[in-house]
Amino acid sequence: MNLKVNLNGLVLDNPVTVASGTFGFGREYSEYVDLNDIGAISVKGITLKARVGNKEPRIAETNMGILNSVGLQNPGVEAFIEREIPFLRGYKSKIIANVNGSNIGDYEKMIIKLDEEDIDSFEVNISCPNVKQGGMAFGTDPRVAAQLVKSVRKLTKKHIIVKLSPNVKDITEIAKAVEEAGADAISLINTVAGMKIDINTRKPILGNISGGLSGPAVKPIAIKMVYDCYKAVSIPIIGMGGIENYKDAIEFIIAGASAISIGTANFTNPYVTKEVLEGIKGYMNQNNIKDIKELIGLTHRI
Amino acid sequence: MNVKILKVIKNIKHNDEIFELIVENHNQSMKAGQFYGLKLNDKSKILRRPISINKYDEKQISFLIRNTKEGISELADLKENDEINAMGPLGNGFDTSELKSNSTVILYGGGIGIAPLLQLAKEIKSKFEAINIITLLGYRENPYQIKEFKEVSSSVDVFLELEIKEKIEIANVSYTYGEYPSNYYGKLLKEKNIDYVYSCGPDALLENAVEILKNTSDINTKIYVSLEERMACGIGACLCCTKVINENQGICVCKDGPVFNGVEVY
Repeated sequence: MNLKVNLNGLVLDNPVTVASGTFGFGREYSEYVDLNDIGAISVKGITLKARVGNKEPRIAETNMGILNSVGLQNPGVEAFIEREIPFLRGYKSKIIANVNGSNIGDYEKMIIKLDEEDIDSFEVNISCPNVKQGGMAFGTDPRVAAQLVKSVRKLTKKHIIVKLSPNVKDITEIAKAVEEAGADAISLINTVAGMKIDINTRKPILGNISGGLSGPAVKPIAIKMVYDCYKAVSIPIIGMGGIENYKDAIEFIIAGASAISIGTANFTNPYVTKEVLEGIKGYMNQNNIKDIKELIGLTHRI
Repeated sequence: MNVKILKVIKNIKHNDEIFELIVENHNQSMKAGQFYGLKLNDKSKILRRPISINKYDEKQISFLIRNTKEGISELADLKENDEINAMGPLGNGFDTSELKSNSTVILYGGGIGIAPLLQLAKEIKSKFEAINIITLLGYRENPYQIKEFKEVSSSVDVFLELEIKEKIEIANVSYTYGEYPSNYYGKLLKEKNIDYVYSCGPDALLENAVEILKNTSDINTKIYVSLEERMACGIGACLCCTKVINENQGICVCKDGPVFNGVEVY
C-alpha cells in the first residue's frame, strides 16, 4: 500500500498533516503521538518579531465549532530558527514554516531568513490583514495575493504553499492567481470569519470582538472549496476544515486534496492524527486501493 | 497525561447548583491544583470541560462541579456505571515543596473555587500532621464540603453572602453572614505570620487577595492563585488560554498554570 504523496516537490510519507496554530511547534503533542508518523507539521504562524497575541478571551465555543482570535502569539522567526527547527528535525515529519506579515516587506524578510534554514516548505498565510490596504486581507484580492506570492517566489527555490482564506467572493480566482504567481501548492481553508455575542453582558465574547470559526461546522464549506479549486488549478491541494476522523479525511481527498490537515480535532482528541492515519489505511484495505493517488480527486472522474 | 474512559462510581448532589462526580481512578497519580478535561457526549460541544481535582486516591477521583447548565448539565445527570472520557491530569498543580512542619498556611476559596483546595489541604496535612492550616471559605448562599475541610484544617471560617435558613452548626466552624472573607483575611495577614496563601475563586477575589497582601507591610507571605480561562487543547499547544499580563508577556493557564505566583499575575 502506498501512502506517499508528492505535493509538487514536497514528498510526504503519508497525507496526514497538522494545521498551523493547533499544534504549536510539536513539543506538547510529541508526548502523546509519535511525530514521526505525521506526514508534515505546519508550525504555529511565525512573524518577524515575537508577538504576545490578543487579550483574552481568545476562544469561544459555538455549535460544532470554535471561534478563535489568538492573534498570532509566537516567539518570532529568530527563536523559531534557534530552538524549534532543531527540535523538529529530530523527527521524520516534514517541517512547513507558516509565515505571516502585515506588509509584503515582512514576508520578504521572513523568506530571506528562512531560506537558509533546514525547513521543507513555506506556508504563506495570506489571510493576514494588509496594513497598506486598510487591513484588508492579502488573500481577498487576487492581484494583491499574486503580488505577494510573486515577491516571495523570487527569493527562494524552496517549496511554497499558499494558505487560502474562505472569506472571499471566489476562492478559485485567488487559487488561480497564486498558481500563476508561482505557488507550488495551496492549502485551504483557513478559518471562516465569525463572532459570538453574550446576551447577558450584551458584549462580544472574544477580546478581539470577532475571530475565525473552525471545527466540524465548516467542513461542508471547505469541501466545496477544495472541490472547486481542484477544477480550477493543477497544483496540489492540502485540504482542511473540521476533519475529526478518517472518513472526513477521505472525503477531502476524494474532493481533490492530495493531503489533509487536522487542526481543531487535536484539542479534543490528542491521538486523532494516529487514528486518522490508521483509518485511511483501513479504508484502502477494505476497498482494495493500493495507492492513495487513486483516491485523489476521484469524485471528479466518476 | 492520558485519555481514559472512566466509570462513574457515584454522583452526589450537594444542592441545586453543586454536584460531586466521583469516577474510578486506574492508579493515576496527580497533584492538588491539577485538572482534567472532561469530554461531553453532546457532539455539538466540541471542547473538553476543564474541571479541578477536588480529591483523589488510587481508586477514585472526585470532581466538584457547578452546574452552569451550558453543557455541564450533562455531567450532572451521570449515574453509577455510566462512562466518562477524561483527559488528564493537566496543569502544574500547587507547589508545596517549601512548606515546613511549622509553616502557617491560609487556604482561601470562593464558591466553586474551593474545589482544588480540599485536595491541597489533604496533601499538606498528610505531609505535615501538625502544620497550621487556616481555611477561609466564601459562598454566596449554600455551603458545601465544610465537614471535609474541617477534617484537614486547624480552623474553618465560613462566610456567606446571604443568610441561609437551615444553619448547619459544625463544631469549631465559625459562620459570618453578609460579609466577604477579605477583611478577616487581611487581619490574619497582619497579625498571624502567614507563610503561604493558596487561593482559588472568582477573578475579583484573587485580585483582591493579592492586592491586600501587597498592601500589608512587613510580611514575608507568598501567595499562589489558581486561575481559570476558556481553554481548548489543555496542554499548552494552541495558546487559546493565554492571559496577557503585560505588553511583553502572556501566561498559558493550562500549562504554565493554572497555579501561579499571585504577585506575578496581578
